[in-house]
Amino acid sequence: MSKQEFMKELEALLAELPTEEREEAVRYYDAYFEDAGAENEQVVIGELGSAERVAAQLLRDFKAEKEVGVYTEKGYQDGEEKKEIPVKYEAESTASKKGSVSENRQREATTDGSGIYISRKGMSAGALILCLIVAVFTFPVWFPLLMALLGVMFGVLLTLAMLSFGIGIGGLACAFAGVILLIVGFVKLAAVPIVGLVFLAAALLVFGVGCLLLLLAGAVLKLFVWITGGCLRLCSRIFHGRREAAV
Amino acid sequence: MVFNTGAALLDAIVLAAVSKESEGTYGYKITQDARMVLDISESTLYPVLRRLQKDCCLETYDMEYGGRNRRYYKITEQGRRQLLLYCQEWKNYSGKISRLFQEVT
Repeated sequence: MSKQEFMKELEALLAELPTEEREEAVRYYDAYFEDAGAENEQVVIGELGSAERVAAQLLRDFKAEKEVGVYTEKGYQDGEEKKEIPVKYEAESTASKKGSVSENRQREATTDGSGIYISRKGMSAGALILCLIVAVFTFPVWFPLLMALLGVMFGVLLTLAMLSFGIGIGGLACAFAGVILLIVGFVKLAAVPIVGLVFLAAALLVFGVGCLLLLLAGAVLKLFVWITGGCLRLCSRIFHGRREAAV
Repeated sequence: MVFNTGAALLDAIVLAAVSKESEGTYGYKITQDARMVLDISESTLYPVLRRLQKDCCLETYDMEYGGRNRRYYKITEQGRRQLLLYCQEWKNYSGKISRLFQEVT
């Protein structure tokens, strides 16, 4: 097999990769052949093995499918976890090396306030049943509380949304009034200069107030988005956690 | 070799090989350098380079050489930090194992 054949085959095998990725890879191996020199062409082909092998590795990497597990100082890690390299530099500061899986779960369990979400790891069947029984018997207590909490959350969110909307409308109205006053002011300026100036001053004032209100509305809206996002994340985490527990 | 080379060690070796060249180095040379110390197949290097580049540990630039553009790989600040971390970890790891092996007669 010649270099041309090899490259052609490789390119065809990488067809399912995005164009950019494919071109990069083809380019790399093309340059590799060039750098190795024409006299080493067969050696390189021999070393690379077949185009299939090279392509398979790239495709597998690209799909980030499970790779062969490796032994690290933290025990055996299979491909899924290996996607982030065992000891990542940034990992040092954040979440101090991610900890073991169980540690992570416990952390989650303590951070999200819901008591239903007890650490799912290492819980015996008996304990699980006990928890279920307790949950059923305390239903009259926690269900209204839960509903009340949801109601309050909903109320707060709605208030924020309406507040933002109201202030925004007010701001727009003020800005609009400012513009109108400005026009009137200019018209009056020609006729009665003093009155015109008064109108202009009023226009600027009203316009300024309008702008401030709009800014305020924006801030309230941001708060609303932030709180909503937080709630959704919390919900998804609880949901996700439950699903994990069910597995 | 009898022992497996994991992804992290491979990354570390490639980072080290690239960091030796302040002006950057190219695929073929990196492979040759890496193969001085490790018996790896030529096809494993490209995925490693690609991954390191994605992780912002390596950056690339093209420069003309012999009538064509050659792609050079250069280590980044982050890559350097990562390499330092790897070196530290390796010292730790290999030191402990070596000490244990020394007791074997």
